Amino acid sequence: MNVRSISCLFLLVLSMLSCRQRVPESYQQVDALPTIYPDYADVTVPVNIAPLNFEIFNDCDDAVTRFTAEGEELVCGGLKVCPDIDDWHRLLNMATGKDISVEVFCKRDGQWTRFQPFRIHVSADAINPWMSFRLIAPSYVSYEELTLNQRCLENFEEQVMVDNMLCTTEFGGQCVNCHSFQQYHPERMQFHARETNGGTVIAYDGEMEKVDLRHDTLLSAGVYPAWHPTLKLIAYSTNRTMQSFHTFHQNKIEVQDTESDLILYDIDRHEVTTIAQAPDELETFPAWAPDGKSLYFCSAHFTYDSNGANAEEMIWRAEEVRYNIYRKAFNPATRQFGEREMVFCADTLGRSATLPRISPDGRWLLFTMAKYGCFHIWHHDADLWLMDLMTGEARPLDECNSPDTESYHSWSSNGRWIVFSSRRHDGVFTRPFIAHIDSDGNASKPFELPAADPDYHLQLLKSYNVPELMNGPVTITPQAFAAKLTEE
Amino acid sequence: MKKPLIITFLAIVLAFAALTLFEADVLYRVQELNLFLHTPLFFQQCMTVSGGLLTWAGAYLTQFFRYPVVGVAILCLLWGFLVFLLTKTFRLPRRWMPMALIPVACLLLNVSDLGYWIFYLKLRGYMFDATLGTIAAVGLAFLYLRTPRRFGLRTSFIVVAACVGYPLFGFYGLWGVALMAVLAWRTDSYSILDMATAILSIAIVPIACYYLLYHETNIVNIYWTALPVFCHDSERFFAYNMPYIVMVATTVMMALFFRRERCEKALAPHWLWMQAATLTVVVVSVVVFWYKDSNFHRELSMMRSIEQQDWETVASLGADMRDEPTRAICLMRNLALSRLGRLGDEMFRYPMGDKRPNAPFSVRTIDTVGRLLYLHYGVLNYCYRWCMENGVEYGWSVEKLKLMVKCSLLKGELVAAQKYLRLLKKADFQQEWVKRYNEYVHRPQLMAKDAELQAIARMEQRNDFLTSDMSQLEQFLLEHFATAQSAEPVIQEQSLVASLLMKNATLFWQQLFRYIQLHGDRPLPRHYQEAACLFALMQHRDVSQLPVEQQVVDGCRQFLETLDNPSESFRTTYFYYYYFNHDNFYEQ
Repeated sequence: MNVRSISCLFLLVLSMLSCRQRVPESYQQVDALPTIYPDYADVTVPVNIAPLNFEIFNDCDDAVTRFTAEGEELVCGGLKVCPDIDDWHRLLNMATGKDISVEVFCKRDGQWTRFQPFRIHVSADAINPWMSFRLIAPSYVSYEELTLNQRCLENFEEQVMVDNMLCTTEFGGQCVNCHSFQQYHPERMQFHARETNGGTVIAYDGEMEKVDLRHDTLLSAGVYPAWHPTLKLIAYSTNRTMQSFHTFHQNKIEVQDTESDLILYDIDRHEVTTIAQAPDELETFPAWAPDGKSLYFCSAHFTYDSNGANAEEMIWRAEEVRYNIYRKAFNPATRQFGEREMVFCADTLGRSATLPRISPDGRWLLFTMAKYGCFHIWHHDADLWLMDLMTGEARPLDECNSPDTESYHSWSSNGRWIVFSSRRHDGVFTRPFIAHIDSDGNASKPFELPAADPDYHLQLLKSYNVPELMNGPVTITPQAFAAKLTEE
Repeated sequence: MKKPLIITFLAIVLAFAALTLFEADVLYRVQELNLFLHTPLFFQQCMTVSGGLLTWAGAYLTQFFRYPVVGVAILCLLWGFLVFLLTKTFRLPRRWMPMALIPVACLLLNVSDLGYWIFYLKLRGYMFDATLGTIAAVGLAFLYLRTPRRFGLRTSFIVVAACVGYPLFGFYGLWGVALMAVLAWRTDSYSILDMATAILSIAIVPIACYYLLYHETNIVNIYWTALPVFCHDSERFFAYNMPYIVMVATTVMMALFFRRERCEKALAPHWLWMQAATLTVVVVSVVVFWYKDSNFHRELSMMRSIEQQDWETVASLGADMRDEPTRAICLMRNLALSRLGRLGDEMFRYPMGDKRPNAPFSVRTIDTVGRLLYLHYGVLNYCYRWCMENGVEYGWSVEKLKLMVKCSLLKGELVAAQKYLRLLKKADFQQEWVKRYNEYVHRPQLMAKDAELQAIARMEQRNDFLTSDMSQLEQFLLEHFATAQSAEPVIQEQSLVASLLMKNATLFWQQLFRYIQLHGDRPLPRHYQEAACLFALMQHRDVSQLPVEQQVVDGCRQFLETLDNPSESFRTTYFYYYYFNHDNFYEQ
C-alpha cells in the first residue's frame, strides 16, 4: 500500500462521513447551474466509471448534493462532493441506460439555495477498466521525473508502471515515452527510453526484451508505434525531430520533423523492414486497421529548396508543412505492403491531419486536425475530426472539441468510447476526457477523468500524455522494467 | 564550569549574526527558490522518496527565510537544540561540550558555502534538511539509549527505527541506526545482537523499501537519500560533501567515547589545548570556506530590487562596482537604466565586464536571473519557457510561479494564471501577492494601471519569430532587438542599444534615424551622440549634419588621435567601448 493508496483511503473515509448529510427542506430556487469543477453537467458516463467527484465553486459556506436515480438517492455534504464508491456503483447500476439527477444546494449566510439540477446520463456500454498514460510536465526540452502510469477507471487506484528516476543517476537520465499495447492487452506492451540506457522495451506474454532499433540506414530508432492487432509486428515511424520556440505566438513551441519514414519491426525475428521512405515525403503516425489488413499513416509532401533536409529551412517554412492521411494495404501472409492511397486530404483544406485511429468496427477514423504541422498538442487550434470510412465524409467532432487544444485519442475496445487529451481547461496542462460515440458516430459531451480529490487536476503541474485504454493492469513492476532498461 | 556553555551560546549567536548580516539576500533568494504548499498532494509528492518527511519539513521551514532574521533564528534554535541533544545522548562532560559545536559548524558551512549552488540544488528544503536530519539521527540514538533492555525491546527498537527512520529521514535514519550499533558496542552486554541487528537493518531496509515502497530512486542511490547531490553537467563536486563526512565522523567519535556515567572531572591541560586547536581549525574552516563572492551577492540584491520595482537601487548597485562585473550585473543595470530613461546617457559610464560567475561549474545566466530578465525585456514566451524548464529540472518555486502568473496575465491566459495563483495561495506569506494578482484575473482591465505590467507590455515585441536562444540569454536579446522594427519607443531604443553593443554601424544608422523620428526634438543622449560621431568619422560622413554636440565631436577626434594610449577620461565613452571592450556575450 503506497502513499497514494493511503490518501485515497483517507479521502474515501472522509467521503463516507460527508455522505450522511440531510437535504435542506426550505431553500430558494435559482435558475442557474451550479459552478462546479470538473464540469459533469449533462455528460454521458460508462456504467463502470469511478465516482464523478466534483468541487463546488459557488460563493457559499456549505453545500449538500443529492444524486437521484430510480427512486434511490445518495446525499453528500461539503463543497467537495465525493460519493462513496460502493453507493456510487449501486446508483450507476440502477440508472443504467437512464439518468442520474444531481441537485446542488448551497448555504450562504444561513440561507440555502437550490441550483438548477443537472443530469448524468449512464450508458450501458462499459469502458475498458484501465487506462495508461504518461505523466509529464509540459516542459519543452528539460525533463526530470517521468512516469508511465496506469489508472483503474472504475475506482481511483493509480499505479506507476515505469519511472525513469529508477534508472536515473546524477550523470544521466532518460526520457520514457510512447507506451503502446497490442489490442488493449496489458501483457503485450512496449515503450521507449531515450538517452542513457536508451532502447525499446517490449513485453509479450511474460517475456521482456530490450531492443535497439537504431541502424545506419534508419533516421532514428522507432518513434511512434502501432502494434499489429494479431501478429507480433510493430510499425514505427522513424523521425528526425527538433524543437523551436515562438517569441510571441500563443502556441509557444513547434516540434517538427525534418525527415521521417515508416518501418516494420518483427518481434520474433528481430528484423526491420521499410514501409515507406519516399523522397520529399514526411511519413509518420502509423495506425493499423482493426483487421490488420491495412496500415493508416500521415504524410506531408515537403521539398526542401536547399540541398537536403535542413533544420533552418524547416523552421522558416513551418506553416507550409501539412499532413494528409493515407493507407497501404497489408498482406499478413506475405507481409507485403501495397501502394499508398489517399484517405483524407487535409492540405487542400489548408489544414494538417495527424494521429489517425480507426474504431474497432473499422467504420470510423478519428484524427486530429490543426492549421499546420505534426505536433498538435502545442497547437491551440487543434481539434478532433471524425471520418466515416464507409461514406468518406469527415466532420469536426464539435461535441467533443473546445476552443483550446484536443489532440491524442484512442478508442475503447467496444468502440463506444474515446479517450482524448485536451487542454481546454487552462491551455497548458493536458487532461484526459472521455466521450461516448454511438453507432452513427455522434459523440456525447465529454467528461474529465474523475479524481479522488476533485481539486487534484487543478493542483497537478503535469500533463496526461498518450492516454491508452487497457483490459487490465500491467503486472510487471517498475523495478523489473528498470532492471531491463539498465541491463547491458 | 559555565565557560563551555557560554562558548557554545556565543558561537551560535555569532553564527546568527553572521548569517543575518552577510547572507540575508542569499537566504531570501533561497526561499524564493523554494516551494511549500499546504496540500495533501504536496505532502504525497514529498513522500514518494525516502527522507520525504525531512524534505517536507525543510521546505516548510525554508519559507521563513522570507524574513531572514526569523529563518536564521529558527535555524540557530535548532542548532542549540542539537548541541543539547548531542550532550545528553552521548553524555558529553560539560568540559567537552564545545566539541558539540563541530557538527553545528558543519551545518553552518552547509548553509554558507553554497554560492550559485542555490540555483541548481534539487533537494527540497536543503537549508534545513541537514539540521533536521542530524537531530533525527541523534534523536533516534537518544531514544535507543532510553529504551529498556528487557524483552529485547532495545533490539526491536533498532528494527523499528530503521523501518520508520529510513522512509521518513532517508540517510539520516540509517545514520541514527549506525550510531545505535556503536552505542550497543559501548554500552550493552548483548551488544553483538544489537550491532548485528543494526548493521543488517541498515543493509536490508533500503533494499526492501526499493522493491516494496518506492519507485523514484535508483538502486545505486538508495543509501544516500535526502542528501544533496553536488553534481552539475555530469561533474561531481565531492568537496561539498566534506561537512557531512565530518559531521557523521564527529558523532561516531562521540558514540565511541560514550561512557555510562558522565565524568565531570577537570581536564588535563593537553586536552584543553587539543580542544582549543580543534575549535580553531573549525572556525578557520568556516571562515575560509564561507562563500564570499561580491558579484554573487550583488546579483541577488539586484534581483530582489527588480522584484520590488526599485530601479534606482538596481542602477546604483550595478554602478558602484569595485570588482569586474558579471554579464548578469551589466544586463540588470542596463535594464534599470532603461526603465529610468537614462540608458543612452549612462550605460557606458559604469564598469563593463564579463567576469565568470565564481563557481566550480558553469553557471548560465538563463538559470539565475534569466527568467526575470526575459520578463522585463518583454520576451514573455521565453520567460515562461525557462520557468517551466527550470521548474521541471530543479523543482518548482515561489519565484517561478510568480513569474508564470505575470506571463500568463500579460498573455491573456487568465485560467493558467489562476491555476498558479491557486497554488501560491497554499504557500505561506504569499497571500497579499496572490490577492493583488487575483484581482487581475477577475478584472483584467485593472492591469492597465499596474506600472510594472505596463512597462513589460510595452517591451513586448509582437512580431513572432520561431527560433531558439540556445541558453544564450544576452546574445538572444541582442539579436531579438537588433532586428526589431518597432514603433514603440522603448523597444526601438533597445534596438539602437543592441546595434551599439554589437558594434554594427549599418544597423546603428537605421536604428538612429528611427530613434530620432520617434523621439522628436528631444536632445540625443550622450552615448548615441558618441556612437553617431564615431561611426560618421570612421565612414567619412559629415558630422555637422548630425545632432551631435561639438564637445562630443572634439572628444571623439581627440580619442581617435590618441588611440594607442587614450586618456582615462575616455573610459566612460562609447569610443572606448568600441575599441577596447571585448565582452563575450556567449556563455561557455
